[in-house]
Amino acid sequence: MSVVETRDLRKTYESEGVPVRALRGVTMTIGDGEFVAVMGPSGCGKSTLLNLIAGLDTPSDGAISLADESLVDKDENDLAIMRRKHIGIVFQFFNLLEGMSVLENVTLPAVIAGMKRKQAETRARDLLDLLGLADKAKNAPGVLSGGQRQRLAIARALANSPTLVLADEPTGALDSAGGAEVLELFKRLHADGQTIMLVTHDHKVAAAADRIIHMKDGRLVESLNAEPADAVPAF
Amino acid sequence: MRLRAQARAHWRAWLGLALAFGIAGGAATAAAAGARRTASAYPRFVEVYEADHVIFGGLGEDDPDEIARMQREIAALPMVERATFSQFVTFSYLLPNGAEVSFPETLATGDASGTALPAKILRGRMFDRDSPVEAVVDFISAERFDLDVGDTVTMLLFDPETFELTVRRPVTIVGVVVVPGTMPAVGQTPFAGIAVSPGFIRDNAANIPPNEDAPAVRLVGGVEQIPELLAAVNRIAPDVDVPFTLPRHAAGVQKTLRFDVAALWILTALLGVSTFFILGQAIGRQVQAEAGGHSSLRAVGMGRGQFVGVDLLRALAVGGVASAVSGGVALAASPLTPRGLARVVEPDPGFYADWTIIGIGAAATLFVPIFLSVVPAIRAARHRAERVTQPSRIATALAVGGAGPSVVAGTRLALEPGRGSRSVPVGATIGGIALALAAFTAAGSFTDSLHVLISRPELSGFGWDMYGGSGDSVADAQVLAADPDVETFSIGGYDNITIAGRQLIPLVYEPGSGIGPTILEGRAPAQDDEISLGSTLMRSLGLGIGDTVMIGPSEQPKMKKDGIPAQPYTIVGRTVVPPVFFLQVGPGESAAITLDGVFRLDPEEARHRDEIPHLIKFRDGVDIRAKVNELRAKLPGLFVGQIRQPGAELSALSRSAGLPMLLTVVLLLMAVATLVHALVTSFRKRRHDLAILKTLGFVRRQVRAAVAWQAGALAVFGLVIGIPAGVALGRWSWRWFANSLGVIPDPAPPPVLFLLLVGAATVALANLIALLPARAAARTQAAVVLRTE
Repeated sequence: MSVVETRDLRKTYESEGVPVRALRGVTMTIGDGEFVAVMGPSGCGKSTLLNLIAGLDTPSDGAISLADESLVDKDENDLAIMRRKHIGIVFQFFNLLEGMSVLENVTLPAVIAGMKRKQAETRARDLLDLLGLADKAKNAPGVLSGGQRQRLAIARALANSPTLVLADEPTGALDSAGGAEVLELFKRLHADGQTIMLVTHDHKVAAAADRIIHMKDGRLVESLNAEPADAVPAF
Repeated sequence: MRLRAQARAHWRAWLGLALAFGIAGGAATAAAAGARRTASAYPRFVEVYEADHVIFGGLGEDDPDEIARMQREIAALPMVERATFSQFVTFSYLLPNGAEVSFPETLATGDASGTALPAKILRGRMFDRDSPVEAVVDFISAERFDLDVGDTVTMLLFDPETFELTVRRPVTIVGVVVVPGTMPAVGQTPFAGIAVSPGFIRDNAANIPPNEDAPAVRLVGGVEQIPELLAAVNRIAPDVDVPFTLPRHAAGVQKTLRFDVAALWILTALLGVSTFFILGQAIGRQVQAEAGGHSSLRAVGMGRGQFVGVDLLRALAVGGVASAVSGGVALAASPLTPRGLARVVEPDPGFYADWTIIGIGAAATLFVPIFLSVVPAIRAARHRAERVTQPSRIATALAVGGAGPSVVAGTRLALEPGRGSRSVPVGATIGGIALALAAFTAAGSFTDSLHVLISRPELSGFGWDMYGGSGDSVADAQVLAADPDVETFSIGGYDNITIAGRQLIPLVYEPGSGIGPTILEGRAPAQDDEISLGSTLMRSLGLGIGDTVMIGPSEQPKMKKDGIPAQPYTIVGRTVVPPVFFLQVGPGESAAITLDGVFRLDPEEARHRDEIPHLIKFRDGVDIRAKVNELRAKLPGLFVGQIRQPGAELSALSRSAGLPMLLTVVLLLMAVATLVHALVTSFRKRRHDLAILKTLGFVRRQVRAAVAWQAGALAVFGLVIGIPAGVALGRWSWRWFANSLGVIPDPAPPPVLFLLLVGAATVALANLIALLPARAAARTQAAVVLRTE
């Protein structure tokens, strides 16, 4: 079963009156339980693709579906509701709510999705425990290290048991130790059956995926099964 | 280059700040200029309208030839520029509704010689000198008796054969005027009334008493020549009465106007302080907002001094524009001043440029933004690690309590200051709103209490409605006792005494009658050696309850009685006594004494007990003027000494009752500006958080609701702090003010319903203000925001 399907997906932006074609007809699928990495040079459209799948943006043309639901005709509110049910997002710079505690950051998505507060909190504590942050529950995110903040972001992304976890350069702002820690987490999640799409320009990170999609100039160039990191040719 | 780049990117915010500073600075400048204009209105009025410098009364002579000689000689004195022979015409006339009004409430005068009446025309025109049926009325009498242009009043003139006021002559009011000398003046006798034309006097000469007064005089050399004039006139007429000198009168008028002047200076100060704190925060926020690029610029070598310099140059630009705007606002607002009674006499109404104040205001408006930018600029230039902020406990409690995610998110947006470039000065925003609400509530409470004071005469000492008598107190008492509209009455009225060298006209009454002085502390006098004093009088004498004070007979020339020694009286109470017509002191500057106390001082007075008038209180709902008319019919020759009405100070205050609310309107506007700026700034700085909420699944409605809750939370916190502070401040300021006036200081109870409405209106207004930022927030493109930040 496909979790994500795109067919000839296109996205054009207007930048100072000049059209910028960020995606020029991308056709791809992500299967249930698959771990897919999307690689490409800066400006190739990988983040645009991620935003379209997350429902944070709408395509100019083409088709896109998530969990068998077309995203094309949905308005912003429908996309937000879809995101609650199916999507968990992990950003490069964490994008945590600094005014909330660690526990509240993880509780919030479930509350937004309609879960009762106590139930959402219980789930949040379980996730924090799973991710090794249980002792930080009452702290503000500002006191955490980079790796801990990204683990918190992952816990938040998992709050609603999403169909798909999207990660945009999740190790980009971390040192090597932090990055390795986060990568290990993604591998664990994948091993537990979580479907993951990860955008990166780091070969070592991409190598942890089942499949690597290469993009260039808004197009999908090739889609290959991942090889061990030391076998990946340099671009 | 940096400054130009910032100007391109942030010119709207700079312009907004400049306009806000300019408007606030202009308002403060206008208030200061208004205070000076109000204080100077009467002195300018008397100059422009060439007021008489001295108004004499009777010459103290009975021989008509001698009177005429004295009048001629006084008019011919070398220092006299103009002599006006305004004479008493009658002391009673009928209003259009038939009610009779009389001296001392009003006068009818005229000038047979036809000298132009120095008057400012408020409505209508000056009378035609030759017309025998025209008159003008001063504005005080016009208000008191509801007279206007076109009304006909009927003069009651003497019948020369019977000496009764039975000759009726109608005159038409053609103008409502202000005449120098008729303005209410604390501590003096007003001369308000009707002025008839020379034609009227000419046609009715047989029914008008001959003019036995010295002329009113305007001097060649101005007020400096008054002593010289008085010396010369005393040589001509040693017993001449001098009821009016311009300097003394002007001083009394200035005292009447002092509340208006003080209120405008207070408005100036409050506007200045509010601008400093509220807009100071706005400029601090702007400095912070534009400090976002500091790290990059630091990396290319820009130093702290340069950062600060750029910020100060920006402040200079803002101040420059604000300075120009403030001058324009001050000029535009100038027609709103002067205030109160001064506005009536202003000789040059409309736009007015007080260049001194405008210059000072412009300079302050120029430099205040610079001054307020210094600390934020220095802070922003420092490379500091961002502080970790703790989550709001209130928001957390709401979340734990089960409040919806929009409520919690909105409360966090309101109460959490954030950190670094995303920080918002929560405390100052709430403080600014609370300050405005406190001022609004305090002003409302103060105004409420003022209206209560003006509408309840008993609070300013009026425990009765009328004082007067026919000359036969026994007959008067019989009529009053039989009248069902009379609640109670007491023989008494007012008398003339001297206390510690000051002339005083205390209230005189009979204890046990049900009428007496209003007591603030201690008790009313009951014995013949007791007296109660007004608060202001007591303070100025340095005396208190229990002290002894020497009371003597009047020192006034015509009332002086030789051979009556001063007597000691014990002060038993602090009292409020309304001023009698003849001496318009403030309610705290008089005294009360028993009838037996008067007789103890001057036993001769007891022989005239049967002639003493009464103080009369009517039942609630009785039309006092109609009742007075009725009593005139029952008691022929009834002299009405006073009908209950506010004295000069309270009369002036009632015209300025709206001034505190004017202040609060300005402060409310500033609170609105603070809230708007806070919401707009917060929205820009918290776009990141709003974008995250959208990625987590917030729909547009929830984002709008969060911003609305943010505005509501700011308003609620402002209310929680501001309203109680305002109620307390209003009550405290009222007590201070009432005590300084010498009236009963009890403030009006807090209007609970009104305050609830204020609360609801504040929250509704906050939500209204939040509509546009909420819409903009709901349209946040999460992907774009998160990518760029």
